Amino acid sequence: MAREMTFGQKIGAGFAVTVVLTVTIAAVAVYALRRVVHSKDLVIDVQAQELIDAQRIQEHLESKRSAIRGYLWLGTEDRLRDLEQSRADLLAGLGRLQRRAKDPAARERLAEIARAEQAHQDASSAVLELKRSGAANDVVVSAFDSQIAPARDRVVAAVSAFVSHEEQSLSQAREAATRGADSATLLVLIIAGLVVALSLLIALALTRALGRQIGTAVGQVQSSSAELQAAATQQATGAKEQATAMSEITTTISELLATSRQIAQSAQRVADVAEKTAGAARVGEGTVQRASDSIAGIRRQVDQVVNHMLELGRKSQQIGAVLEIVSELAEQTNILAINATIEAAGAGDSGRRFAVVADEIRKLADRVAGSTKEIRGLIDDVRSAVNTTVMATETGSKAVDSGGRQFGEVATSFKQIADLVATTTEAGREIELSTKQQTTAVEQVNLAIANVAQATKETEASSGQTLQTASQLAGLSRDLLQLVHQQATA
Amino acid sequence: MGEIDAPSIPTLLCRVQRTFCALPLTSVVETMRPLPVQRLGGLPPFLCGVAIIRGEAVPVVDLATLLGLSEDAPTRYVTLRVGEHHVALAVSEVVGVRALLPARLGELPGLLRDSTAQFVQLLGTLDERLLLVLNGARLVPDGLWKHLDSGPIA
Amino acid sequence: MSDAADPTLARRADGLRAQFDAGFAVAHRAAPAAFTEVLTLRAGGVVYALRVAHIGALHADRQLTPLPGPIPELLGLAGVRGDLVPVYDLGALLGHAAASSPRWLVVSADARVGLAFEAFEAHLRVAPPGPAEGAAERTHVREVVMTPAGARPVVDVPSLCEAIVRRAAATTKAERGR
Repeated sequence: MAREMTFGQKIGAGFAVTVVLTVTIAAVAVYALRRVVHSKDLVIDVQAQELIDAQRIQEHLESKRSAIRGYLWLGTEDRLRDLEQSRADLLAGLGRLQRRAKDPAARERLAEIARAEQAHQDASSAVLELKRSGAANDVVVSAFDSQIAPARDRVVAAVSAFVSHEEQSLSQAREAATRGADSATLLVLIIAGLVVALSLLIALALTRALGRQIGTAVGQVQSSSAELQAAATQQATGAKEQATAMSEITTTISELLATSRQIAQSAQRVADVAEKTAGAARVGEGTVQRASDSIAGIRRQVDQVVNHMLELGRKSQQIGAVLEIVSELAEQTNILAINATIEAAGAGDSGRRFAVVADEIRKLADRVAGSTKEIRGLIDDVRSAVNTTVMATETGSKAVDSGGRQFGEVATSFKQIADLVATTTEAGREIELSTKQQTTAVEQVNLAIANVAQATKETEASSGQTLQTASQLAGLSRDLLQLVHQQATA
Repeated sequence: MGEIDAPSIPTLLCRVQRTFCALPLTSVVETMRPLPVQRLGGLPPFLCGVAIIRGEAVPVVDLATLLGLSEDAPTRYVTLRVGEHHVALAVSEVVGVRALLPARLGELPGLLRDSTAQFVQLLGTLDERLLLVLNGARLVPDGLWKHLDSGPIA
Repeated sequence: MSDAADPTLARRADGLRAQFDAGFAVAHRAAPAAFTEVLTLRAGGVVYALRVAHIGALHADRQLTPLPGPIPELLGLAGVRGDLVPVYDLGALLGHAAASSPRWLVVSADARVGLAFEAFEAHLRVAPPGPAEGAAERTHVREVVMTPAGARPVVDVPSLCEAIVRRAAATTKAERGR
């Protein structure tokens, strides 16, 4: 059960028991004090009041006697009123005493007083009557002396008896009160002793129980504080490393910043170069276009060459045909010349000159025939050359076509290059912009890192403090453990 | 014809394939390219047929066949006067008019003189090649003229 | 490069051949009863005809050796068949502007005079010439022949030669007289 109770519950329970005992002691002490006080009050209030009242009764009696005497002497009426007043007070006091008195002996003595007083009153009244009746002073004085003085003495005696009785009961009450107080004191002492003993027991038990528990807890605290210390050490080390790392990061970021600025500049240069390249590509495109136009011109010229060659072939064909005619004519001339020669031979001497001319004609015809053969050979050569040329030109034309296509591709490539370069320019600009933004961001990061570095330094400091605190805590827990163990062993 | 001491014989020199033939110019009328030939039945193989030359039906003798050479497309006809008739010789080429010295020519060997080759009058050489001097009058057998004269063409 | 270059030309050669060969098939026609052979030519920018009978020879591109002479139409001397012949500008002799380079040359039948002209046109056999218009006024052109190409005035070569000889003789006399 005690094991299941918490630390606070245990202490609370212990304190509760102690409080209960203390309250008990207090209650007992209050009770005892009350009783003592009551006894003393009784002694003071009742007995003393009674003594006072008895004293007052004597005083009122004296007042009464002086009033009587005054009247008697002076005869003034106001002395009578004083007498009346004194007697009322006396009776009131006596009445109070009588009401308050419980002791029969006291009652008896108070009744004696009342009777003595009545007797005194009666005597007084008689004297007064005498006075009023105008009796001589002697008579009145003797009456007074004879009648009132003894009555007064009896009253005084009765009061004195009462006072002595009261003084006796007062001393008795005082003794009783002193006894009550003593017994209460004893009771309180006994209970206090009990409480002390019980408290000691509880304290011991609590100390035992709590000492163990606190010991365990303190042990845990100690180990925790040791761990905390270790952790704080690690944290301190980590914070130091972090600070170092932060400083490295700061350096790196500074480098990064410089690098990104360089990148921005490089990107700008790239964009500029790309723009120039775009210009060059445009120029190249123009050049290629011109070259393409030139190739088209070459193509046209090649076509013209082909056409001319074909025309040349046709012309040579025509020349061949003409040559055929020439050849035919030469042959005919040859035949005719021979016939002329034959004819001339038949004409005898007169035909001889004609035969010479005819032979010259024949020779001319033969030369023409030879020439036509040569021309035919030349024409064949021309035709062959034309064929070769046309074929070569067609090959050239194809090559030119291919070249034209390739130039077209080159032109397309240049266009693509121009487009790509434009894209590159744009990308370069974007890179430049992005890098500038990055630079700004890195600057902000640098700022943030500086803040973090500051925070890390603070962390380092605070981890030092933590370490210190953890060390102190460890020391404290060690001390506490020591204390607890000492208590536990004590 | 045939006089050895004669100064020179003007001839028309023709070529039949690789053989040169000389025709005495006195019997030559003219030369021409081959004209269309009408073939006739019952003729000797060296007679190609008949061609219309100068308005006359003229028998065409293929000299190559006549000389026993392989057939060849002729390029010239040479018309000869044979008595009242004309005859055309188909030759490979007419070279021209040549005056032949009889001293350079020889008689036909006796072995050949009575053979069918009576139309070869003399033999000689020209540029290391055999030269035949032909006798136009013997080219066409006499019987043939009758046959031709009675033919539908004449 | 096919053979279809110009079929008309090829046909022309065949036509010529056929026409020529066919000429051997027909009998010789009798020559026209009366005909004149002429050469047509251009001299001093005008087309003329010369009777072949008046001409000894026709030459082209003969080299002329310049020779100063009494007659301004003399172009120089030409060697023709071993003879030296004085050559005159035919156009100039007929009263036209002198030709720049007359490359053709005819020699008169008596081989005394050569006449140079720019272009030779044809050798034609035509009907005998008739009298030319205004023949009386013209010294050396009194006839005209009809050719397939049109009428051609005929230059009287012997008359022209005579005139030249006379002029030359007169000039020589005049020089001697001086």
